[in-house]
Amino acid sequence: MMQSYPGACHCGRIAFEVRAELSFVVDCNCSICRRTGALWHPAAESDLRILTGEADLVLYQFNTKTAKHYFCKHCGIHPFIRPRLDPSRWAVNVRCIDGIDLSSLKVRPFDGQNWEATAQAYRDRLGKPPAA
Amino acid sequence: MITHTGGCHCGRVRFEVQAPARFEVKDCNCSMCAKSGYLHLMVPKERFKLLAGGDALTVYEFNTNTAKHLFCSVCGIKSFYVPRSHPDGYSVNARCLDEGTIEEMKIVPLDGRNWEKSYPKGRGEYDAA
Repeated sequence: MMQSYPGACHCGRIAFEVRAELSFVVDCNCSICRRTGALWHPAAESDLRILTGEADLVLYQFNTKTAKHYFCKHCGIHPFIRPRLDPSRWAVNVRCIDGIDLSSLKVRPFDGQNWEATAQAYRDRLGKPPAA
Repeated sequence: MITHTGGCHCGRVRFEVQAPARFEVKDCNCSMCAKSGYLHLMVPKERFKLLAGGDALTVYEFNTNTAKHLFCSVCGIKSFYVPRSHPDGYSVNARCLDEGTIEEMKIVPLDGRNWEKSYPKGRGEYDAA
């Protein structure tokens, strides 16, 4: 069931609300996700509302510069990204959702280390790239 | 004991740390670590050497302001910091160690949410090297 979840970075400057059916998280092993330890959940453009702190976000990009990696300039927490698979959508870091019990969520590994092959497999299966 | 190297994502912050090839890391559930997915390798300060990027680090403090949370101001990655439990040493984020030198890494939970209970002496010990 779609539900609304509040979330924030650690210092609280960046607050958001995401509408999602939260039953799984995506655990990506790419060079940046393995370092942020983020656990992602996809969200449509209209399902994430940034409530406060947009001016406190730092944008970091690398390699193809398709994805947009955002973090709070005060506490360094990465609450959400525009994922490379579909940068018109969002992926929210479920670690930043208030009171979430991560152990209740299924973990879907995403082989971001081999991004091209993994993305192609998604396209073949779904006919279009999903946000993850 | 061998030398592991590591750093942030953009490459500005680089360090080396002396640790065994097989080691244990702590997966802490405190308010900060839960959001950063941090995996702690605690070492005394003489086993850690910052090689580059000190000027790129942002410091973040909260609560008792004992811990010095450090992250790269360019890529946002927290590759090491000075923890509240070991304020005379460093905690290296095992997620930020380069590949190739780790033979085995055992992840054990740490109840940082109940910090005083987990550290009744007000601080933690270092694992025997």
